[in-house]
Amino acid sequence: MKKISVFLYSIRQGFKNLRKNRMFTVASVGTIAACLFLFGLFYFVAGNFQHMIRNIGTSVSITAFFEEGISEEQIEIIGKTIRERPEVSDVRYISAEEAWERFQEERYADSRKQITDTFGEDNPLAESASYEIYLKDISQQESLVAYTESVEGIRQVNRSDEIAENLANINKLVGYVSGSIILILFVVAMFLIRTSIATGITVRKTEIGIMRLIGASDYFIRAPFVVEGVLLGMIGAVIPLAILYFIYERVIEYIAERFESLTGILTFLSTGQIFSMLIPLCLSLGIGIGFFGSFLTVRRHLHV
Amino acid sequence: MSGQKNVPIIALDHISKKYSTGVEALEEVTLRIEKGEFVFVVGQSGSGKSTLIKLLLKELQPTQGRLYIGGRQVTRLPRKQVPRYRRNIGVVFQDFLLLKDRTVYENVAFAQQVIGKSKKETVKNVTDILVTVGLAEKLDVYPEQLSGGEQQRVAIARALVNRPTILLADEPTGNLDPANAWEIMSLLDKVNKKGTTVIVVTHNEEAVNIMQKRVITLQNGTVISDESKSGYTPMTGKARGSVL
Repeated sequence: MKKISVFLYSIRQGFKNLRKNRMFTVASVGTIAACLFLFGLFYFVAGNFQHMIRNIGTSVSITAFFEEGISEEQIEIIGKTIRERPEVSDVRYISAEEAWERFQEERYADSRKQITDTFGEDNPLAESASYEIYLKDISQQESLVAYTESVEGIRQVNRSDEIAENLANINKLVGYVSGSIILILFVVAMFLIRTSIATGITVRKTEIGIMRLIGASDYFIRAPFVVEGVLLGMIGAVIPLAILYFIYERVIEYIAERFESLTGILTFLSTGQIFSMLIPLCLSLGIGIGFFGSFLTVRRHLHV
Repeated sequence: MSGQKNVPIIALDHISKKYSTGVEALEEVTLRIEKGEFVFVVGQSGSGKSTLIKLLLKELQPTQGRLYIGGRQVTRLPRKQVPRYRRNIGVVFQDFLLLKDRTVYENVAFAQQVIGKSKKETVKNVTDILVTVGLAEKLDVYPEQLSGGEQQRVAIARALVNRPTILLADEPTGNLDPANAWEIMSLLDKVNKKGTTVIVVTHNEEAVNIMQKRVITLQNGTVISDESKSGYTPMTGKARGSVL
């Protein structure tokens, strides 16, 4: 009963503190909101960029050619083995006829007749039946190539090293940049919360002194400040989330309209997809920053 | 707190306090205060009165010696137990230390909130104590609308609402005119008659003389006199009191 009443007191007092320190509340919430808004924008860019890279990555495949004279049964077994690999998203069989057809289309689309005249019904790629293997994640290409090369019945494996490496590097870079930005924002926001809570403690020095003298526990004295910090963080997260939600769809629509010709490459995450991650992320960041910022400050400034 | 016979409510056993600045505020002070006593602690500025109050409130640790409250040694009380310990000691200061943005009722109720009392209990206890100090009519008034004497009565109500066994008053009449000062002293006497041990640190010689209570005199950190229930006259000689 006592614990509940002290807990409720802390919540009420936390809200009161926000009202009492209006100026610092506005400043702290404003800065946290600005930080998380920037974070959200960055997340839009990074999230969609990675989404696009993933799309491009999954359309890149490696090609595995079979040894001469391999039976259809063996080809099927190889296909089954490769399909079972966790990093593989799809395996497509390309027959020698299909390969020859594709080759003519890609290289000699304008002079098909000349090719037909030269080769007639012969297929120069008769021994070029293959599996096109698509990856879930392009960064795993190297290990899959090594594995495929070791499979019995495979003569040669072709891969697209350059695309794979570039995409993997871009992915890594995006990861590092987002990590650094989150870290910087975290430090700035923590500093602000600490300043705000420390000011609150100074303003209420007399009250805290009285509390100590009449036997208030550490928890009773500190909890309202921690609640205040958490509330600052929470409000600081909700505001940018609302604004970001409002602008996301409009921006996507605008870009799609403006760059219609790039529709194939510019594939965006839906509002639901992006906010299902961004909402918990922003709230955890805001509340986490608020909690730790205020907790560390009261630990440092409030001794019974 | 213990109510055992012959166990003093407060006992200082060779207590010394030396600050990091080198100042020796208290030097080998030994004294005992019985349950239900009314004691004045007098002495000039720098005599060690404030240090004594701070030691009793566990705001300071003695450099040497032992402090007993209700027979229990509290000298090295763990930090976590200090809040609970303080709930047995009510304290009143010269400058009242009231929260200006809260009414008389809220200021007193605050002490109950701190120890987690329910709303129902708080209403009853606060109303009762405000009747005792004669402020039942001023529940909703803010401290700045009260006279100095009334503000000190609110502070006394706040100190007593949690029913402490000891009431410490540090210069409670220091900011009051003689009429208000006398009112406060009478109130403290009334509180003492109800069973609370009262310790008043004061410069108010007139009050000390009129009240005819035990008077402990400190000088340069030592007890130079300890007189019980007799007329008080300031002493200058050094005669360390030791009644433990």
